[in-house]
Amino acid sequence: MGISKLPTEMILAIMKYLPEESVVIFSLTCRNFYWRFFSSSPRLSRLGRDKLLRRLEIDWRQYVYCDVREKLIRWDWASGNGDSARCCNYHVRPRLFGTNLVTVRLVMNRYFHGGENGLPLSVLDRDSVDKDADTGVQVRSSWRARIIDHDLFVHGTFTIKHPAGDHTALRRYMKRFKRDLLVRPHISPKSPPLACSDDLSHAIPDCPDHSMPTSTIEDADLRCPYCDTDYRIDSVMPKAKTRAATKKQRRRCPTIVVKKWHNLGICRISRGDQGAALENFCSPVTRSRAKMEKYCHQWHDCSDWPIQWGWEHQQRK
Amino acid sequence: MAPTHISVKNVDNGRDGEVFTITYQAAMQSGILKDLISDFEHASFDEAIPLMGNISDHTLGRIISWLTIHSRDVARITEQVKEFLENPQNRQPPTGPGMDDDAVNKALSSQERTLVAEKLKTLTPWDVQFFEVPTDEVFDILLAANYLDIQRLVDFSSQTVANMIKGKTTEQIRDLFGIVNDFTPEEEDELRRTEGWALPRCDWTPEQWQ
Repeated sequence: MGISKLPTEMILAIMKYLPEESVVIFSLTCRNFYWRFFSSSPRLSRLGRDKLLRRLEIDWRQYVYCDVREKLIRWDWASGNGDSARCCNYHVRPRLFGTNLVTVRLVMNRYFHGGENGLPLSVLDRDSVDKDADTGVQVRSSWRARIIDHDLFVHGTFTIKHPAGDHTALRRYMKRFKRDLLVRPHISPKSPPLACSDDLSHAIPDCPDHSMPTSTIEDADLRCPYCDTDYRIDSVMPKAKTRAATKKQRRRCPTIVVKKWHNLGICRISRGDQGAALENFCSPVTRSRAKMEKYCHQWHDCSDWPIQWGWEHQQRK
Repeated sequence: MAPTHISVKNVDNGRDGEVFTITYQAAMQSGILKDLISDFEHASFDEAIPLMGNISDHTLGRIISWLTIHSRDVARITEQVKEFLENPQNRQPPTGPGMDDDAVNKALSSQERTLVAEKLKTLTPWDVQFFEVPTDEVFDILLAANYLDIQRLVDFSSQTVANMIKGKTTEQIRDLFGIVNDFTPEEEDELRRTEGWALPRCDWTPEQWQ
C-alpha cells in the first residue's frame, strides 16, 4: 500500500495537518497529485511562499532563490550565471569583496544540501596583486573561505608595501584602506567599544617590533556578532645588516600585513536553524540590519566601561 | 444488558481470520463495531461478530491494542481537566463572585469541552511509539481506522503521515513514499511558469529586475 493508492479523502485528512507550503510541495511530487491537489492548495502567505521556494530551490537545481524578488532565478551551471546576472541581488554590497550573493548562496546550498546543489567553497578563494595607481602601493591580497558553525567566513590577507619604500605614499594609501576593508576595533564586554579611527595610517609603526593587538576568530564568544571586528595588523620591517641602515629602513619601508576574518553571513549567532545567517545575509533591507544597528548602538552606549583596549591604550601613551 | 467483552472474527478477503476479544468499552470507540454490536444485541454474543473489512490480522490486532489502551481516555482526560479547572486561576474567562451560577457553569463546561477535545487530539508518547512502523503499515492502519470509523485513530494516523512530510522537499517526499516523478521536463517547466508563482514573469522590464 503506497500513498498514491490512498483515497482522496484520506489524503485530504493528512493535508489538514500540513503547513501551507508543504501542501504545495506534496502536490508537486507527481502528476496525479498535481491535478488532484495543486489547484485546490491554499493561497500562500508571503512566509509560506518564501519557505516553499527555498525548498524548491533544492530540488530544481538550475534555479536559485532570490529573496528580494521572492522568485526562483535561473542559474546556468555552464556559464556560471544565467538570469541571476540580471537579478537585483547579483551585484551587491562592497562588503562581499568581489563575490556575489548568488555564489555565496550556492556555496551554502552545497554545504547544507549536498554536492549537486551548489558550488564548492574553493570558488570564493582568490589571489591577486594590484597596484594602486595614485600612490604606487602594491597590494597582494588573498582570500580563503571557510564554514564555521554553519556560517560562511572568508579570511583575507593583504600584504601592502611600496616597492620604492615611500613611507608617505604608504601612509596615504592606508588612510584610504579602511574604507575598503571595514576594520573596526573589537567590541566585547571585556574590551569596551571605542570610536573607530578614520584611517589606518597609524598602523605604520615607528618601532619595528610594534604590532597591533589581535582579536582572532577564537574570541567568538566575546565578539560583537554584528560587527566586523576580527582582524590583525602586523608590520614587517626588512632585515637590516647595519645599525644605520636599520634606522633608515625603519622609517622608510615597512610592509603592512592585514589579516581579517569577514563573515559573509553578517551574523553567526546560533539559532538552531541552519541557514539562518545566510537568510539574514540575503536580505539587503533587513530586520537584521536594524537589529545590528540597535545592537551596536547598545554597545556604544556603555561609555563608563574601563578602557582596556590595548592598542588604543598604547597609542595614547 | 451490555456484555463486558466482545469477540470479533476477522474476515480477510473471504477467508476466516483470527478471532480477537475486546472490551465493550474499547469497542464502542469504533462506529462500525458499535453498529454491529447493536445489530447483534438480540443474540447472546457467544459467537464472534464477523468483521468483513479486508483488514489483515496484523493490522486489526494493532488497532484492537490501540482501542484497548485508549478505552478510558475520555473519562480519564475529563477527570484531569475537571481537576485542573478546580483552580479558579486556570479558568478562562476567570469566574468571579459577581457571576451567577448558571453563567459560571456554562463558562466552565464550555472550557472543559474545549480542553478535553484538545487533549484528545494530542498524540501521546505511547501513540508516537505505536506509529514507529514502516510507512505502508501506517497507511494500512489509516485505512482500517477509516473503515472501522475510529475518528481519533484516523486523526492520529494522518498527523503521523503529515509529520513525515513536514519540512521535506519534493524529492525527499518521493523517496520516502516511493512516488515516481512522472512529470516531463516540459511539464515541470510549464508548472513553474503557472501564474508566475515561482519564476519571474517573462514581461519583467530591466527596471523590475533591478
